[in-house]
Amino acid sequence: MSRRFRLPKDRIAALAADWGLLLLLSYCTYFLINHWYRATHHVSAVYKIPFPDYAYVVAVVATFLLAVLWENLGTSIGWKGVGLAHADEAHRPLGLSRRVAHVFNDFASWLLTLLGAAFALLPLAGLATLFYGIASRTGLTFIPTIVFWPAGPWAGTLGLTVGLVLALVVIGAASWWVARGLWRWLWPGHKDKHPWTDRIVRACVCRAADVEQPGRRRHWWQTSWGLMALLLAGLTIYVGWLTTQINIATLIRRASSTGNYWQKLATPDFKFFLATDPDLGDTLLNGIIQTIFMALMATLLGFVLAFPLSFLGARNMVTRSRLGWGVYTLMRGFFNIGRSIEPFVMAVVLATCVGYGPFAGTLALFVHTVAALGKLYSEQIEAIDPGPVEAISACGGRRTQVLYYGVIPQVVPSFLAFTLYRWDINVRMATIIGIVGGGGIGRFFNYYKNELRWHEVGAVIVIIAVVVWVMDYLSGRVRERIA
Amino acid sequence: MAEPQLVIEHLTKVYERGDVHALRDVSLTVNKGEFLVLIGLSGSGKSTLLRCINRLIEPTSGQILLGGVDITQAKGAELRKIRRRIGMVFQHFNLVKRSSVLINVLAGRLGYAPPLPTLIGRFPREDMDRARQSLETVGLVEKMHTRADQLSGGQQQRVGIARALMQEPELILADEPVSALDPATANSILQYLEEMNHKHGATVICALHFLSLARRYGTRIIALKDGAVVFEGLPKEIDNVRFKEIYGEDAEEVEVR
Repeated sequence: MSRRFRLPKDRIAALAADWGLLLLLSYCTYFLINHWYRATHHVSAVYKIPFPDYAYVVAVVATFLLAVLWENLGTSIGWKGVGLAHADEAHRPLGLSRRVAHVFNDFASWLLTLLGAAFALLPLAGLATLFYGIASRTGLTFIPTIVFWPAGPWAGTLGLTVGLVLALVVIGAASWWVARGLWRWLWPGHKDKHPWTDRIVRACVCRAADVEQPGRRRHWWQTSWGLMALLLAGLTIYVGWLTTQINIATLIRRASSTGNYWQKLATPDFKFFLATDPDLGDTLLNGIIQTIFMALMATLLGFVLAFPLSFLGARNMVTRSRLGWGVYTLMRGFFNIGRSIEPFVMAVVLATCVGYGPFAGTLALFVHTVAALGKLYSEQIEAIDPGPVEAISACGGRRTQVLYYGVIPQVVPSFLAFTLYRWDINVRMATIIGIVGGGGIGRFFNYYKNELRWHEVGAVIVIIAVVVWVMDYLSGRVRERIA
Repeated sequence: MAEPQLVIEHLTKVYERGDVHALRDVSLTVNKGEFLVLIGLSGSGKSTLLRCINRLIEPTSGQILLGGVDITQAKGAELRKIRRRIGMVFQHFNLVKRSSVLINVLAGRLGYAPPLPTLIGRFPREDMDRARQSLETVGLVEKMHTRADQLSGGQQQRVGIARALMQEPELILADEPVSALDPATANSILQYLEEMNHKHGATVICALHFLSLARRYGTRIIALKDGAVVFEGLPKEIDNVRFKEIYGEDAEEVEVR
């Protein structure tokens, strides 16, 4: 039997995937048209065919329509991925005519969804515009002034600002609530196995596993998802090759003609390992030690902050209430965003704020470490054996006691292992962070590279490689012992 | 005269996810000093029933009266005070594997000990003495400082019993305490439970799989099927017909001695 009809999550994910893939396809086509045009006409290497601006909109809309068509008429990659299929009430595959009819039904359902969303967002957008109008007229320039508390001619309008923001939130929530009601009213069967739009066509969306297979199964390369996957794979690799300008001839030609450079790199000069380089005022040894300490401090401080935060980001620790869900989502969001900003990038930003030097690098590493360790830790906490927690609650333990006796003993070894591993990674990252002004050995690398002192660059490379290798080896051995 | 210690009235539990009715209107009375055995197939609701009694699982509706007080509404400190009177022994022991046996046993005292010192691992002296006594009772004093995961299954369950003993419980819930153990060990574990029942006067509610063990240790048997009570009576009353009613037509009784 088919399980309960599940529109939202699976179908939205599938549609997003199909839409994305078709957008990729359209980009590849666009790229290749340009590429072939340049190859056959005598134009500059950066020439692009002038498409009108609205071509982007056309492409976005057209790919959406194509995605819906594809999902209805064949088996799209998205539907294959989440395991959905069309069938009639008896779970037999649909014929072409019913599939075509279902296209309209599908558009109707997506339209309803969009309508609901628009209804919820419209008043919000309207109010935002109004708010912006008032704000700009009263000389109140948005967020910066709100963050830095009153001092200025607009201080009197602060109450108005707060009131408006509150009204915005309330009205937004209310309109969302109304829109939800409207949506449910327009689409009474949204929770049924077969919504009414599907009932008209007498077709349903169900789990692919529940659909009866026709006598002869098709090979994957005889299906639309298979062909599309093949086409996309080929196109992506081809376009990727062109766009990254991979050119083996260049590699061979240049590699053989730069023998002098390689020779200098291969004969590293360690004279500044212990002796102070007058240009930089420090020794390479001090540089690498500073790098290791940057990594160490970032890891230690990161551990101190990530440890408590990870409990707030573990589902089994906080999500018993709505507030808990909020905290959990917030923490997870922070971990994910923090991890997705490279420390390299963060160091550039922070160096502008706190000045060039090891502090900027350490700070950047620290932020990234908190996020990365927090995520790893909270996953460990989620993976604990719930038994001891249950047992200690059953003994009448408080939540702090459950934490201390039931949870922490279970996670301590893996926390230690992760922290060590993080230190290892941080050393690796700290070496390059110096290149953007974060201090440590990277500073030497950057300087020597700019001065074209290749012997010294070679020395720096060797030192980094040795230190990274040793750290990797040592932390690996220690982690083995812990685990 | 037997006085009712635990009265369960119209207890129902529905798991939202999947619309599962784990308990359907279960009503039963447990008298002081009883050794009540719960039997029934896996998924019949034995564990859910036991966990509702100490509120590890929130019942959907119904009342649980412990010593005449409804405990389904208890919250916070009140709930902890109720829980510490109820010992629990688990199928998979639920010991903190990386902690020592002593810490695991002391954990049974967390409901009583002053909270702040326990967070730096300090327990009152009398609790330490009590832990030693409990371990003596289950014959594991010499393993006191061993890590819990280095013990055998039977030894771990004995630690679990020592932990329950620390609570000086008036009621012990045992959720299939011997299902993960071999028959000989199973018997010895149940003997410890029986000892707690006789010597310490704790009422025992014990879920069991083997009927032979249920007959031997139980003073009364309650059978659950699909979350409802299908049999209630003395061990000897379960004959072959009853057995098939509880376990289904195809079941054969397995002897464990």
